[in-house]
Amino acid sequence: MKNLAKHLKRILGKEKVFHTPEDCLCYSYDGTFKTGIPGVVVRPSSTEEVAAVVKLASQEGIPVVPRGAGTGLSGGAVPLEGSLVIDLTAMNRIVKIDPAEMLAVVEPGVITAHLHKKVENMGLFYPPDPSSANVSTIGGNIAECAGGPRGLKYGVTRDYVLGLEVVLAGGEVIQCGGETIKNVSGYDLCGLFVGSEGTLGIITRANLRLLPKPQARQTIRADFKTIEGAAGTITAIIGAGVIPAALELMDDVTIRCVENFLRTGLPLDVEAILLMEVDGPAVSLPGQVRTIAALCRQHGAARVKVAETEAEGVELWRARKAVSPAVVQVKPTKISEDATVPRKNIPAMIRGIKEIARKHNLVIAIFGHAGDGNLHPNILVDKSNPEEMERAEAAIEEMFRLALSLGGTLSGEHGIGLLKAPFLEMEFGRAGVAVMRRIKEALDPPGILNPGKIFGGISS
Amino acid sequence: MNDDVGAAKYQINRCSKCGSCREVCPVFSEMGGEPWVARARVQLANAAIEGQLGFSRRFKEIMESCLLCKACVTHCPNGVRVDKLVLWARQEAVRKQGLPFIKKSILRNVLRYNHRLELFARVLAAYRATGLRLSKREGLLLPARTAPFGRLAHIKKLEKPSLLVAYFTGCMTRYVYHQTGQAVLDVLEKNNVQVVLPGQYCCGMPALAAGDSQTVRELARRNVESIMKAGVDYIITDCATCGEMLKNYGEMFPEDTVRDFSNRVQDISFFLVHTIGTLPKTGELPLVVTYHDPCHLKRGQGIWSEPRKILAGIPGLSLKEMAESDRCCGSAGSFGLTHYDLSMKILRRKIENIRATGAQAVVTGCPSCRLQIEYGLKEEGIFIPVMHTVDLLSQVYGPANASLSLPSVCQRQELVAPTANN
Ligand SMILES: Cc1cc2nc3c(=O)[nH]c(=O)nc-3n(C[C@H](O)[C@H](O)[C@H](O)COP(=O)(O)OP(=O)(O)OC[C@H]3O[C@@H](n4cnc5c(N)ncnc54)[C@H](O)[C@@H]3O)c2cc1C
Ligand code: SF4
Ligand code: SF4
Repeated sequence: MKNLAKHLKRILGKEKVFHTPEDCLCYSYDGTFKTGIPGVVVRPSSTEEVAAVVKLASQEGIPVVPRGAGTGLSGGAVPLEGSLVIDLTAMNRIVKIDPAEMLAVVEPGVITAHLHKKVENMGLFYPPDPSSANVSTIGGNIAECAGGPRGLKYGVTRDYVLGLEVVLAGGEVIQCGGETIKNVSGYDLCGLFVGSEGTLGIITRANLRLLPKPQARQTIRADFKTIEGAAGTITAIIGAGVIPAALELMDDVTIRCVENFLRTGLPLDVEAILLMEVDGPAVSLPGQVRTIAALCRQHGAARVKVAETEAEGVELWRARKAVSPAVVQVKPTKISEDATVPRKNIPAMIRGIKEIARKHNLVIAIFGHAGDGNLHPNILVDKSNPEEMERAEAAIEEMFRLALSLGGTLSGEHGIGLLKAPFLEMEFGRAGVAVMRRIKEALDPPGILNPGKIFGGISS
Repeated sequence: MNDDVGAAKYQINRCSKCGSCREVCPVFSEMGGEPWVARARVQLANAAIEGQLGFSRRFKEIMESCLLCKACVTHCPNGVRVDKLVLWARQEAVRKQGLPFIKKSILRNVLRYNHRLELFARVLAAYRATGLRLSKREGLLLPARTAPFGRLAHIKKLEKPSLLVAYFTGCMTRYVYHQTGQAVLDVLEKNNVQVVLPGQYCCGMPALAAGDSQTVRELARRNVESIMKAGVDYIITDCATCGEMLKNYGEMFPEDTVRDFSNRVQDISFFLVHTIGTLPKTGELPLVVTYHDPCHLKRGQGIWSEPRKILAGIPGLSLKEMAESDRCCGSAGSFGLTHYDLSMKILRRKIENIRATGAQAVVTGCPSCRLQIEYGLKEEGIFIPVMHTVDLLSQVYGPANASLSLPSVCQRQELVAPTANN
């Protein structure tokens, strides 16, 4: 490792290479409870530097782990012991924003919210908005195909990536996609790299598609006595041709946690709260709001609140934004899952999760992006209690099985990483996973790019 | 597992490693790498407890580069007390390895004895007078006075005071900003509050920050003993750092008298707004100011609306909020001396935010921040005064309804931009 560090310092300069035990420990984790201590960390500042590092790593057969902000929730950036971490956050330039082409060209370390702010100041809009946007990087978003509340109406990161520059396992640099919306030359390599979790190549630049910024938005909250009422409302709203920009659900456990924490007078006698936001031209809002409010009432909403001012909107969202701090008041550790099902199966999924919680004697708060079926059951545990952690693991596996049996997927937006790797075959079968493996082997013959992620097989 | 380790473990277990602190940690935003963010300090503390890492040079370097500004603590969804973990780590390092010689000499031999602190200040002042300047960072040591404020202060005996308070002057006011001390006395007198100046010592924050718990305990004991003897209703501070520290004595040394002492501590702005309640009318001052929230006042004591209320009560004065008004100025006690370059980078962002407001003066509630911001403005060639909230208030308390102007306030306050005598 000493030798490798020396080589790296020669390539990058010594201020970009770190290998003390303390530095390595600080790169041993991401947003999960998994850890693995790397052997050396580099912070390159250009594509050429990344390419040179990867080339050296491939010659030496050293595993490479790309890393953004380390907020991933599936263990994607947790290093294999002794590997080489490439921290891409020093590559954080917004290279250009072209309003005429509705295009942003960025380096991978750009913080998602910085891009949001910059383009919105120009009247433009980059929709993908993971809740971690204030710290997550575009590179990490692309590598995980991050979603967020806006997924229902605006799609996910995949829908905004027009082109990528990628450093391959041997250190070669390729361009895929381009700057245009339409581009069907050859295979869709862009699509392949989006969501590849750093296992196929390292993204060093991205061309992102922008939209015009919606002129106005408005928030509505509706409280439901039953999950079924809330779920019925969701399908009815979408059936009526209104697509909310956000459609978030909080279940009774979540509501109780938030109310205990905020004391804002949330109803404690309901099974679900729906928080919805519509956006678009100002003239279109009253109609959308009326339709939604009417449908909520038809489906038995106990209460419907429409925010008349910006401030009222912020107040309604306050409860949703407080979920994370609120739930950890109950237990210190939260395991955030993101199994996703078709919208119509939301009630079955929620009922099933509650059954699993009862069976394993666990507290599970369910909230999330209900509009696209992307729920986040959060198991609240204390990680210093091994027995409870075991029950949680059993519950997680059952939740995965349940989601798949309801026509869903293991992960809507957090990725497979380390945590879900053991279950991938459950979703795609042996043959399906074998195809993925062949792609991996074709692009990364030495197997140095983020080993153990997605496919598992390497204990970390 | 001793109590301290248990408490540290409790904080560590609450960290979900979500990385949200990357958004707010001022040190991280200048340094960029993960080791410099709050999350990493939590994980390093854990590794130290688990015996995975020792208290190496790098470990201490990372722990010492924390401003204790608590931006992470307020922002953290789980409220992890990163500041406490950092202090724990520093204290453990000292317990295991002892204090470095220079720090030890200052903390143990100077801070604990007022006459030595005074001598220290005097040597500093004499040295300043020679006009010598050995290194750039000395700009931060600034104009020490030769005599402590308490000895020069003249306190009027009031006929029928409404309250009796002890004024805890703090080292900065005692040795640097005498006019702030005078302002506090004037303002309190104007509000019919009788002030006494019982014997007092350094609040102990420099020792706490250095991990020297032994000196902290000693200073706390002396302060509590001496001030409680005076039998006062409240203990007033004008220094955000001292205020927070004195308030924390009760938690650190949970004995009845100490708790009682801590409960009586109030920042001057809080005291004026809440304890006094209605303030006398002030003269008019047509001035655009901006306000910097000291970390130890806003996050340390939850005081941010009070100084704004005081400013809002001054006719003619308008407050133009700067962006990130509560972002650390980089001063953090001796941090500016030990981490000069980093401190200056953090300061530059503050100065840019101040510049963008176009304000004619900066107001703040802590003499340490004031010193740092004055230095930063001067370095950038921006000649606007920086004053403590009470400095401003004491001036407009003057003749009722008199119209004041910036130059007159500055002159009376010696607030004109520091001349180039150093
Ligand atoms: C509080 C919180 C809320 C969250 N909310 C959401 C949400 O609403 N929606 C959502 O989708 N996710 C969410 N996440 C998960 C996480 O923020 C996203 O997955 C995000 O995209 C990760 O970005 P990052 O920069 O932190 O990447 P990291 O965690 O550093 O890395 C993630 C993966 O990407 C790879 N990678 C990183 N950069 C590159 C690159 N340049 N090239 C190739 N591979 C790379 C890594 O190897 C790793 O496999 C949340 C996380 C937290 C902690
Ligand atoms: S914000 Fe709090 S919980 Fe999140 S990583 Fe930082 S210290 Fe840990
Ligand atoms: S206290 Fe301030 S400097 Fe220290 S970790 Fe927290 S945010 Fe960073």
